Amino acid sequence: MTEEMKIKVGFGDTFRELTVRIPDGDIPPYQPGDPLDLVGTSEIRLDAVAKVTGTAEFTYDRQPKGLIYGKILRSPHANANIRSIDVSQARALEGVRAVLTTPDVFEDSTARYAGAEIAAVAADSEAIADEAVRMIEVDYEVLPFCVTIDDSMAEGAPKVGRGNQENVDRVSPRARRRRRGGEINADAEASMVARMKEREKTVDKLFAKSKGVVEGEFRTQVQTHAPLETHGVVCDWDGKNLLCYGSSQATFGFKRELGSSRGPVGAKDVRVICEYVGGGFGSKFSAGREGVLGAMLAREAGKPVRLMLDRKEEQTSAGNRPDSLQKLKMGVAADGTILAYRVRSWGTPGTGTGGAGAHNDGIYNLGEIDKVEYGVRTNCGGARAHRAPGWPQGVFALEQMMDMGAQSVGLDPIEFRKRNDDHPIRTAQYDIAREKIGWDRPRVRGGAATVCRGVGVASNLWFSAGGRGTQVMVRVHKDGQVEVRNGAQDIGTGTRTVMGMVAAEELGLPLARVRTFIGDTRDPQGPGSGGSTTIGSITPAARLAGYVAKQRLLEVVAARKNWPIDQLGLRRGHVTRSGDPVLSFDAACQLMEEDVIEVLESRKANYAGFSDTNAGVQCAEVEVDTETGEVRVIKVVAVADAGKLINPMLAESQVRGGVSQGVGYALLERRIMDSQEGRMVNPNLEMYKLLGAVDCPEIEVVLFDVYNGKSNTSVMGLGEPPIVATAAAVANAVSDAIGVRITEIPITPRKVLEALGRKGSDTGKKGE
Amino acid sequence: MKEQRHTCTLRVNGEDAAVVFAVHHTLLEVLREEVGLTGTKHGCELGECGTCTVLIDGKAVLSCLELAVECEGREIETVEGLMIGNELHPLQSAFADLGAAQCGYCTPGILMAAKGLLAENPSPSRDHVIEALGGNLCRCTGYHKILEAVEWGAAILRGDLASRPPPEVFHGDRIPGEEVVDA
Amino acid sequence: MLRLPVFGFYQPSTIEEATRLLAENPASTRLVAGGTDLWPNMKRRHQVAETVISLRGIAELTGIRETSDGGLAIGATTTLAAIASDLRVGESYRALATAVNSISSPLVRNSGTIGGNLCLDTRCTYYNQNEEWRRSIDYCMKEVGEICWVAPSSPRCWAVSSGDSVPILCAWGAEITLVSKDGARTLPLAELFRDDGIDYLSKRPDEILTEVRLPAPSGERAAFWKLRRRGSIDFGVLSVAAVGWCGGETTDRIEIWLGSVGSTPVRCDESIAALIGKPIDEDTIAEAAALARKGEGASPLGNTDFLPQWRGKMIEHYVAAVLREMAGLPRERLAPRHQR
Repeated sequence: MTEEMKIKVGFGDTFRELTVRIPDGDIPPYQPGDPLDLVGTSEIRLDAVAKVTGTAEFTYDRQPKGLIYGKILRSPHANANIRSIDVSQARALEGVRAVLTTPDVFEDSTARYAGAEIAAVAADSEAIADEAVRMIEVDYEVLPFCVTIDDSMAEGAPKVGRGNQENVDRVSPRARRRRRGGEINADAEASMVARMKEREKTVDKLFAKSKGVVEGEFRTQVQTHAPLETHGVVCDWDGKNLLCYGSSQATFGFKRELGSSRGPVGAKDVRVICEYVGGGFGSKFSAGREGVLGAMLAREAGKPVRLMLDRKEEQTSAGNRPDSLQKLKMGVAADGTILAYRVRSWGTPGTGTGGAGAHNDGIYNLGEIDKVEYGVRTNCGGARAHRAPGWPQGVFALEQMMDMGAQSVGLDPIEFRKRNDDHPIRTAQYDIAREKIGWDRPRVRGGAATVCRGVGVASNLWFSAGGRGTQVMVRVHKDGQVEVRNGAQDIGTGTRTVMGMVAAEELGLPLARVRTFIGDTRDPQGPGSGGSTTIGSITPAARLAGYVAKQRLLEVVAARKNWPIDQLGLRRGHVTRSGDPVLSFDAACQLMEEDVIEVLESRKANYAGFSDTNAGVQCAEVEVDTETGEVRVIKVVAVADAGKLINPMLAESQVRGGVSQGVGYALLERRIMDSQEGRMVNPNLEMYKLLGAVDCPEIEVVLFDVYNGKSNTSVMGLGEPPIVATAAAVANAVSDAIGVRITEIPITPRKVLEALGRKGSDTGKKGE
Repeated sequence: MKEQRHTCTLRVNGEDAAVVFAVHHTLLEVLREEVGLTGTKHGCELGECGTCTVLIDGKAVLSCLELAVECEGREIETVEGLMIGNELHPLQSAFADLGAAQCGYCTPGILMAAKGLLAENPSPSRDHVIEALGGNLCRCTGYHKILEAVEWGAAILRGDLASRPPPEVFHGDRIPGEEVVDA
Repeated sequence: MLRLPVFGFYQPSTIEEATRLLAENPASTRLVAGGTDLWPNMKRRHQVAETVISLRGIAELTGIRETSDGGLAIGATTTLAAIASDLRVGESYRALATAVNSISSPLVRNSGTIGGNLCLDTRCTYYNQNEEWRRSIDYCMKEVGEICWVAPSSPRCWAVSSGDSVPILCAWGAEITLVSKDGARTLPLAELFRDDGIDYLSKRPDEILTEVRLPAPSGERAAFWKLRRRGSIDFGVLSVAAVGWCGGETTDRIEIWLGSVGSTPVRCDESIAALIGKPIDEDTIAEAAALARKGEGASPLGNTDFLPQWRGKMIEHYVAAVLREMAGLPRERLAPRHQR
């Protein structure tokens, strides 16, 4: 049963009515003008004090009694098969408690990148574990390798995969397979190829009709997640039951993985605890081989084991954002409407081909689209989801095409975007970004002086309303104590705080009055922190649980005091009757006959809303030295929408963090592979350059507060969207500053000078 | 080679801690593993990230690059010692109030670097703060709130709250309980 | 966690005691002061030592004092932070303060010492990796390996001298004192360095660098610029220092030195020759800068951040920028962060 009702949706001072079908048992979303005491305020993080006093316990800080130390032996070769492993010496070393090998545990005798797991040891000290790892003798069949997209795509390139795996795989569109992971049906493939040809023709015809046709080839680099806390686990067994402290962004994901009867660990019961995690950014969904090995070493040793990666392992083996090669073409009508768009793109997600995609065909109305995508295998550490997977690289290319398209028909870049954008929120954001960056201010640009300035624009969107599968428990105790519980983790986004806020709002309590519990799989099911859906999945369940607990408490009060329940409410620490406070919350709880009201509510399904996606526009201003090629980002304006803002301070933090990672992606960060030995050359934090305070630009954040509908909190997550647009906006700004396009990130001085050199030869001027 | 052990008393957060450790152990290792103070985190162990910053004799240094044996007789301060009695240090409350701690992993190191700065310069400009935190990486925040929090903490410490508008801060008690006699 | 290897540790309180300890087995003994170079290197097992001697407990090695001739003497274990904030340095040797302040991060400068920066191990992408990484490529010739991964046909090691205080101190004509059990010797700082990535110092293993001395100020002007990717933490990939003495309109004497372009600091002889006796203006600066780029020793290889060709090009721009700053000409260049 669902209830049909009218809700108000919109933002600013413009709202409209929308008829939605609220799922049975759910409550309507926040409405404009609702008297909210907590929601929408910048409440301090509930764990702020733990974090500033050093009492917050991260995985690395867990020290169960009898702890011993795990260490992984990794492949020195970029591509090899393991013929045999001799662990006898390691096993015989005093203090060694357990030894495992990859062929035994994972039934995998390949080592397809330098850094692949080969074996693992647990010992009484890290020094002994180090020594033991060195004593393991491995006989490798060493094979030739490819560590770059160009090497791997070259004619006659060494094969990265095994069996019939080709280096380059078409990943989209794909012909239907007979079964998951099965062979592609030849007929289906033939008909798919025919359809692709057809699409090509359609788009070619539209290019022929276009006033402006622009083409570009773009490249992006591999970016590592580089959380400051590395991956790893502390595992402790009690019989067949596993207690795993994991640096995780999916406690329940870890639990499934380590408890699956088909997995190598197969624990009977798994409890995962992760109250604090030092950053994840998409790389900590899976326990990974390090987590599996940690759990199995602990079982074999019969002692708790800590297996945390060191920085080199983190940078090499714990995930990354794939690189990309994108060849794009766009046809634009004289009035600025985009008629057709072609994409051929390649990406290297490591030794596999999944997750290679670049989202370069979203955001705008791009007319008819002809898109083909390929995954390219390389002998490099594998990709893991990375903050808006596929989007920053795709949008970097798309947004430059948008600037080129605008230029081809003589339109201002922002006007051109507006013409091809009908997002109900983003269309209101462009002019704000334009004004805040001073788009129309005069600047020395286009390479007219040694030091030039430029501005650039780019957009983002995201799909983060959240969804079902989450439950929140609220307990109201007779002594007035209130608990709010969910087993998911808070990776720094503020999940714990917003969960507490929406529940406390329902119960009419200050936030400090509720105790929140998070990061323990003994508590109710919660989502992984992915797709920016955590807040959208947890808060509706928390609000509903708070609401139901409130109703139950009010029923008690109504019965005991003989007050009509429809006159009663909870606000500001009191029971109210017809709006007037009549009884303190604690006194109301005293009326309960039982010790506790316990409510467990599920996240209900989404319904219609103002917008299915949340939107953003960013503008960047840069300064470029046209002789040295050095680039400084001076300022980024980020206009962002997170649906209904639960806590603006936390939302703003997400935007700033995304932008700063985006600036690093645009200018500094990149995995460098050595062509001689196939190893990552910069697996540390000196040569892998994270943006520091000194280089971080001014970031101005403008948040939209959108009554969106879709769930009872109307909220949209904001972890990923802000990183989508930044590198693109920076690249467009650099192009504006120097008068010639930069088609590859990171934007290094060499690339700026090369671009300027091209411009020189284009115009017949002397270039360097 | 046999480990050379060292027995001494380290002065940590104003208290004496009797410890035994190998002379090649860093202050980071001894703090976390012998003294049991795990508030000090680490991210690279090579001096590249600033996560393990502590104060030695008031100066912000990398505990991963200091031998514990050389810290004998010196005042070591870690994040655990920042609180003044039961009160948060102004830097701590500013970091909490302004949301400068996101995932919280770099926070202890940054707090100590900030305290080191304020000991030398109680009224740092924005550029001073940026410069002083140049060795502390943060992957979450984009730094802005950290810089603001250091400035705000400095203002509180100076007792100079008029020099800048207080940030918009809501404490848990912002919804006052109204004075009501229970019916 | 990366941990240090086992070693024996001594904390002498006098130079005599230190030199005596060092003389016992100089080859397997390491000296340490701030530790910001030695400890990362030992964690990566670049250096193993049976014995490490800390110089921090030797009071006479630390501090800045005025010399009888009006110059400054800086004790080897004086921290970089102490030098950068010293009023006398700020007044008479400001470019030295700028150079010292550009080293790594404030955290490192609070521990790191001037002696350590002068004796900084040479650096290379293929060397500054942890032990397991280097083992898997069979090391390089700076250690036990056979070849140089940067220039595989090269008979020598090209690891880079990256001490940012070196070029400016060389340009100022600084002197150092080396002390061993058998006595002390004084030499120009420039003579401390050898053009070899492996054996990069002329200091004997049994010697301790105790002091660096700056001559009395005599109306000179000086400037320092450093190039690196980020405004903090990063090692330099180029540092340029110049000190000039101009009596009237023309240059009587000038020293221009480059750092981080090879295994040893490089004196720009031709640029210097081109400027002597001439005014420093747009034209002479352009000529001197172009000569610096072509000069001997100024040929960066692919063993640091950034491509060598670009770093070569930057020599010209940065020498010009430094000379312009010395001459008081407008900057017209995106300046390094430390130059704000």
